Amino acid sequence: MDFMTAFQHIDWAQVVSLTGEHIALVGVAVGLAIIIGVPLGILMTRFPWLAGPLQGAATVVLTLPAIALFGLLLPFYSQFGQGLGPLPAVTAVFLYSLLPILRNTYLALSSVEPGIREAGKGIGMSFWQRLRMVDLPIAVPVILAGVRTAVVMNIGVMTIAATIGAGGLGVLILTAISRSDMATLFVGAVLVSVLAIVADLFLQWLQKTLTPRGLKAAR
Amino acid sequence: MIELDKLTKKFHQKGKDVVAVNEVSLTVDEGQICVFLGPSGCGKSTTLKMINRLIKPTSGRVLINGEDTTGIDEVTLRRNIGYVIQQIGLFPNMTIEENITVVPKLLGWDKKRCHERAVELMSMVQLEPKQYLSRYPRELSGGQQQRIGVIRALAADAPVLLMDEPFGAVDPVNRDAIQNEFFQMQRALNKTVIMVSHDIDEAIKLGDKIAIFKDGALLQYDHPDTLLAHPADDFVSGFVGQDSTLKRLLLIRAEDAADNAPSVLADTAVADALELMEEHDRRHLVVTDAQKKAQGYIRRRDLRGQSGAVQPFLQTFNATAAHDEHLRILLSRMYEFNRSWLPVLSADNDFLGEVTQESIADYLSSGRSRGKSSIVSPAEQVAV
Amino acid sequence: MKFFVVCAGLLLAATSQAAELRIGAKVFTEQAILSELTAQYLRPHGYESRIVGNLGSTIAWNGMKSGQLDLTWEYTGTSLVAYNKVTERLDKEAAYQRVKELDAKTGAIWLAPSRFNNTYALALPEKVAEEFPDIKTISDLAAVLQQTAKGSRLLALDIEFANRSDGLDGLVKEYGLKFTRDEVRQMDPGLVYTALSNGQVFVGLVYTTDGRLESFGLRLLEDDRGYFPDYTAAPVVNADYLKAHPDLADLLKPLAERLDDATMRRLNARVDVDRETPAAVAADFLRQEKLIEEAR
Repeated sequence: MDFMTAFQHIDWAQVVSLTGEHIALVGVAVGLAIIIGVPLGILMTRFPWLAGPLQGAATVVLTLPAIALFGLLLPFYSQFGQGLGPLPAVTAVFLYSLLPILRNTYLALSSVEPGIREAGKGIGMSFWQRLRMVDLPIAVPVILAGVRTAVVMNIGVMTIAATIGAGGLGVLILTAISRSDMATLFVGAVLVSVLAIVADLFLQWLQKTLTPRGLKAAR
Repeated sequence: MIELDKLTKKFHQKGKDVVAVNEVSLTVDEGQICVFLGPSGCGKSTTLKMINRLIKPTSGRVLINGEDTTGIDEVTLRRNIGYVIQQIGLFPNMTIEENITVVPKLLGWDKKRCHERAVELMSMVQLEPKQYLSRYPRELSGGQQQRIGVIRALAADAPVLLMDEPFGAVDPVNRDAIQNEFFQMQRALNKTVIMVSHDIDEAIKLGDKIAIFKDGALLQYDHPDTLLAHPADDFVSGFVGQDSTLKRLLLIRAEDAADNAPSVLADTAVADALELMEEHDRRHLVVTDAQKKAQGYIRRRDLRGQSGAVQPFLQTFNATAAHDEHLRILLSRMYEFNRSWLPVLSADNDFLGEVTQESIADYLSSGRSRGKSSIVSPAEQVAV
Repeated sequence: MKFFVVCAGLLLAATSQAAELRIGAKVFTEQAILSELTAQYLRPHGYESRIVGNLGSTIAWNGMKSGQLDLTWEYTGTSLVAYNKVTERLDKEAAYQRVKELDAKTGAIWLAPSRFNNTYALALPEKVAEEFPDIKTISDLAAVLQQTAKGSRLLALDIEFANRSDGLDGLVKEYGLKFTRDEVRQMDPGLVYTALSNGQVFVGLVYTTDGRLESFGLRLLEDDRGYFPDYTAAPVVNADYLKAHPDLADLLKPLAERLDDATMRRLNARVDVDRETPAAVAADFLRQEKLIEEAR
């Protein structure tokens, strides 16, 4: 089989659909991690005693091997009849994404220069006003860096979702391995890689765009 | 007008009770600059921060324009007090205009009014609004940022301004100019200011009153010149420095140290003039016209053996003293022109008297000081 | 738009109730084909199926029992040994009856079985087969291994078999196979074929109905001592679902009966070797066997 015919049998429509599924799964999971992780990071600056336990928990979760975590979530969700859908996969990736986002939010917010913090407080801004008008805009680039880490890492992890029926590009890869279909395996692997690179570039661009002008301006 | 009534701050550290500020009471009149001065750890910053409640007082009250601020919620309170700090603290993600108008916006001013206010304030610090309002703090120099910090504090037109070592971060080359500029602004806007400083010279230059702190207590609260002339105790005396008398030169004006030198008219006879000189043990006399406007002076050596009126021997002044110039400038001028005396003239050229080395020394050692309408014991100046 | 949807719905309700059937398929080709066959076959009979594929071995079974899936194709040997832990050696018929009886108690109903047995076998890669023409049974293999140096004969097999109580350990004991721990390479079952095809191992554990056996030139060794149990495939349905849809049992019987070893191998080969899709292969088969009318 020469190079060209090796790829002929691939159902590109399915590939496109699986890619879309993969993006959706990762997107939802990381999106949830942002929605929950950023406010948690904010709370950690308001109540510093939370910082240690929350970060510790997120770190512990991150050390669990992905296959094990998926394996643990499956029976848990099966109790609600959701074991074989996207929920376990999305939950696992959500948990993995928490640490980088949580940590970066907390770090960015707590490293706002003391002078800026004191000035904001002293001229009469409430905690939430400072957060909204000063701290968060300054923190956005760092938070997005955390999101980037989460997304790029989890695009790879999400391939495991296929083993529990959640879909995504893992389907291509698993099926190809089981059928000794090198061409499809190659396509699947390359796609996952390409997806990660594209996501990284996009988020880099987003990071740059959302960085407040004032932080980028040079003398 | 700000009044501090027995402000106290105590806190618990390592099992012991520490008194950071001990029942400080003083009043700052409207439109005055009061400088809190003292060594590190003396409680001056803590006291300042209790006024806008960045630090919560353990006991005592703060009254602004007669109103007790204890019941006012802290955020509202701070929006009605200007605050400037050493690190300046401009918000890097906001433009200069946005930085300046933060508090007005929070108070609900409309956009137009905010913008106009920003433009108005920028002009006061000689920063071209069109050029700078849309820039970001990073693009400005340290001195420029400091100025913006000050006008941000003035933007909402609060009656009171608190400043914590505001000029500390400005390099010495620019500091003088910025202090002068600030002083002009304060006089023009008539804001009541409390400023923390550790620099005695800055305090003397800018302060209408100086409060000296030590270990949480207020030791002396006086006009700078009174402080220099009559330090309350050894500590204050040591703090103001051994050259305190020289420091006073900056504060005392020509008219304070002028003596009541006699003068003659242009048509006075030489003989009468010489006699007058003999009487007052002088070698010169100032010549004025009938309205006491100064015209020049005559020298004894020129008059010896002469007759007639003194008119032909009139010399023009090559150096004079304006009535409100301070003594340091005068001394400097006296050395520069090698003179032992200078005539003191009003703005309309009225002859007010002369300053001489002697008259200056006299004043400095007399116990009189600026800011007091009569000589009163210094102990009574310190608010209790 | 809504109007038409409502009409269609009413029509559908009037003609036949389309029941939803969730089919669980394990990750390998055979399961994909079986689930496609089932789905396409049952559609004209009023079942709209959704195939949840690529599932790990026990995930499909547990999914069916817990009600998250309705039907899965399982193998008698798997249920007998792995799920029910029966250690007795049973023949094909007895094995089927035993699992049918035992699993019924836990809510899984075995329907009429197929006629193919997808059991394990040891296979030699092409080159090795040429080099050792006399190795025809597993006993032969054992004899050869006794004489060769350790560390030079690699065995490829899947992780599940390697770690089951009735798996590798039992096989080694039964035949006296000499493998050191190093020589045993556990991997994804699909990769075993790749390893064999590339000649990277000496012998591999394969499945007897896999489509790649012939095209990869692998020689199957005879299980002369009858170690490997019977793995007859049959559709297994969730008990509650079957109660609600009792016609399933009779419906699937003709389909199951058509599937024997050779057929299965052929269908598998069309996917694994010829790279056709399981759906296309299933559709073709159903049409040829007249199990389904010509597509509208």
